Amino acid sequence: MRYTVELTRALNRRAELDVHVLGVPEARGFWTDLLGSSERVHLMRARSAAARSALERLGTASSAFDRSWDLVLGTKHLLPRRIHGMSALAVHDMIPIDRRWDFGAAKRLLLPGPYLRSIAQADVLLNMSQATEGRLLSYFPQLADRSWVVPPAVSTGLLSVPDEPVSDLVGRRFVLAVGDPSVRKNRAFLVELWPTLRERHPEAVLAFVGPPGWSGAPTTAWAEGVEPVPGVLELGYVNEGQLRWCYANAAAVACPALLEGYGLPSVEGLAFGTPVITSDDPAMCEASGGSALHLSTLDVASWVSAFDEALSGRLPAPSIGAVSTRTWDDTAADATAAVSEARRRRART
Amino acid sequence: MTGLDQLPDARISGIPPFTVGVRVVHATATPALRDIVRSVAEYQRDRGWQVDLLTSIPDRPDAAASALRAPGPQVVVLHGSRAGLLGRLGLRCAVPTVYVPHGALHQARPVHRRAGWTWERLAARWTNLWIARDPDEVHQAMRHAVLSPFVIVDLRETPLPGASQERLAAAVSRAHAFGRLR
Repeated sequence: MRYTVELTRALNRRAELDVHVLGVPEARGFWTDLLGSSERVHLMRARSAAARSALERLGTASSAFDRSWDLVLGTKHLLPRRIHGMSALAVHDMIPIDRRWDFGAAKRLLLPGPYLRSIAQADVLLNMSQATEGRLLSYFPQLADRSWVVPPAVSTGLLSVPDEPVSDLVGRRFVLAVGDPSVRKNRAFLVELWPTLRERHPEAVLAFVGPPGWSGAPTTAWAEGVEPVPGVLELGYVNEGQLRWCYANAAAVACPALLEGYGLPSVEGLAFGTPVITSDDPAMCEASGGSALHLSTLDVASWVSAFDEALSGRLPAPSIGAVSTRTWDDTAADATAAVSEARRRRART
Repeated sequence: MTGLDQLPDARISGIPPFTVGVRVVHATATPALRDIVRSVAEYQRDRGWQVDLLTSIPDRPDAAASALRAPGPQVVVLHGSRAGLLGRLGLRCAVPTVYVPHGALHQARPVHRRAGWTWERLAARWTNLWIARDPDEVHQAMRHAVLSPFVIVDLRETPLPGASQERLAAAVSRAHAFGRLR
């Protein structure tokens, strides 16, 4: 959702574009405020997310599907089957195939087919990272000439909002892990090694922050405020001010996810000058670059050692130059350039 | 079809694969694959991994699983259709499992090929990574609705080039990140 909102806002700032949004009735006010016009908000009525996705793919339940567009951009895995104009698809990751068992039964059975068909159909594929493009081309090598890498950026709200301390963490040394509790985020890995670390740092806290997981999917989540093992704290959803405070005050940001499309928390941690430790996932290594420490999750001892260094204040903070200055306007510009190039190629053929 | 050399950047691991030691079992039940599997095992062993090599495996899936698990591997790599069948049926993702068919279905007779694709659709749930030798193998698998996570590594050249060895090792070191584990 954050990707859709930030990209739409940035595209809407571009004078040459007339941006319209297809959304649910409950979000009508939000999109009207963002776009500055209710005429550019098109509604789709459906009772559930699954029904909405099916109708979106079928291209029914909204008159917007009958109109002709210069470009239809799918931001959430799907494109309508029939489009009057060019189409682009944001490829966040290939997890619906690479790790389809992370999803509940309905999503596991219903998403891969339409997702793969949407990819095959798109005129422009906007990948979040080179690693994601690599995964995409492992399935569709023949689509290389339609594929572009257009990374996202750190949330503008997160960069501008004032700090809001989190009372459970004030005055404590903590390692921060940000993300939903889906299995691929690998929270269990951190929880299992934490008792070893507590032997050296008895007061240290491992704080999990993030929204709830996908409906029906297996997760590694605990009730808010519960410590599944001593020193491990589940904070659940926090607002942007609290998240900013967490990033800025953590001894380290831990990103042990097994598979990511981009790995935004690793970039956000660096943006606030906090040491970041990631897994060997290529997307996260690419996004955080040489400013973060990258370790295989098969090598538990190195993770314990890195956290020990961080909690002792010996893990160096990233340098100022390491912080990404990429903005959502850059993302919008890159996406627009990719579509223009695709249009030029199409005209030539 | 796009050739392998045209894939822009298909990095599999964010760090060099031999940065960390991995305990791996390579297994095959196909005599024609013994040399290539041996060369892969030696390459990985020489670079610090703990590698066990099985050039024959028991005929029953449960016995095959016991043999594959005995060395305590972090990853099992099954080469060829017979090892792929027995190993995946026995292990059922108890250990991250990489399947390398070495073109097994390309070479099979039509009737076996049809049965093979049916089996592969079922076995996708027990395959953490499928190492395809070229884009055409991926295309064929997807055409038959096989939804395994694919990585393309060309293993046809003899002796196997260093780049292919490194790419295969990167995939093996990341197998636990794909598919599922029980």
